[in-house]
Amino acid sequence: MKKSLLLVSLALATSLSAAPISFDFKDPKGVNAIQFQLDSLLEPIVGTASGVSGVVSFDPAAPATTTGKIVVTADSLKVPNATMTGHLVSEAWIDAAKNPEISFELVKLDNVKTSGTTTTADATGKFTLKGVTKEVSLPVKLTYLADALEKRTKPGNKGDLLVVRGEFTIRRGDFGIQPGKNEDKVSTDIKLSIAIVGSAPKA
Amino acid sequence: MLAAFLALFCFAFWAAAGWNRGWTKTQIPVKQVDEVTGIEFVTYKQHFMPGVELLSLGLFLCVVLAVITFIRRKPLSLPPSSHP
Repeated sequence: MKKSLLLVSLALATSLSAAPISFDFKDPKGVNAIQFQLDSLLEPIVGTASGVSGVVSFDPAAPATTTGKIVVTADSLKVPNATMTGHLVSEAWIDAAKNPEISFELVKLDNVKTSGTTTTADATGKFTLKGVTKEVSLPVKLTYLADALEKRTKPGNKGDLLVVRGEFTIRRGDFGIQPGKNEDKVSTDIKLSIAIVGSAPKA
Repeated sequence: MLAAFLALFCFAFWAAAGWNRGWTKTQIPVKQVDEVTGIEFVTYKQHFMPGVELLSLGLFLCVVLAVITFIRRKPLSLPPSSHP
């Protein structure tokens, strides 16, 4: 009886420790942003989208099972020129009023390799921009920082952090952004760089 | 003379404001690093930095001004005076 109880307890403890952790990517410190870059006549236009939110479920013991969705508010896109920012979110480009969200929903992770706290993988997911959803693949790096939440917030605020990094390129025309227009002035390719952190407070 | 002075002023203003050979910036991105995660993030500082397109526009207007001045300076062939 005692033996079976011990086995049940062990199994329960194992299942609990192996349970995926839910990370919230709405960063209170305002660090999270997606950087975008596209070539133009004079210089590359580099901007950020800071309205990042979403949830990623990550199991340190089984990173391949990671699921989640990252959402960026379209009107948070910003470039160093206010007029350009206005054009970018206007109907002619992103149309932030009609398409308020840009999102990436993870479908699967392939070639998952873990070394210490870092996992690298090829992520495939559904990327939605200006109402158009397409499947994209990108190499990602996930860094699991156990018990690091209080270092970023306040002492006693126990929890873990998950840093997600990745980079991929899209063609603006594929998402209905000025397809075939102004290609001599603004590149068709937009490079997107992700470096975001999610937190999972422990109760 | 005025056009040349304005052109010089435009160039000096552009150069003094940062010699920005890119687009005009109304906000300057400032890179920072989050110590715990190592994430490099950008904050924006309000600052006006004229770009090459504004410099070009300024110089173009100076050329237009110079041309107008040149045309207006041309001696007009006045009709012979009707007065004795």
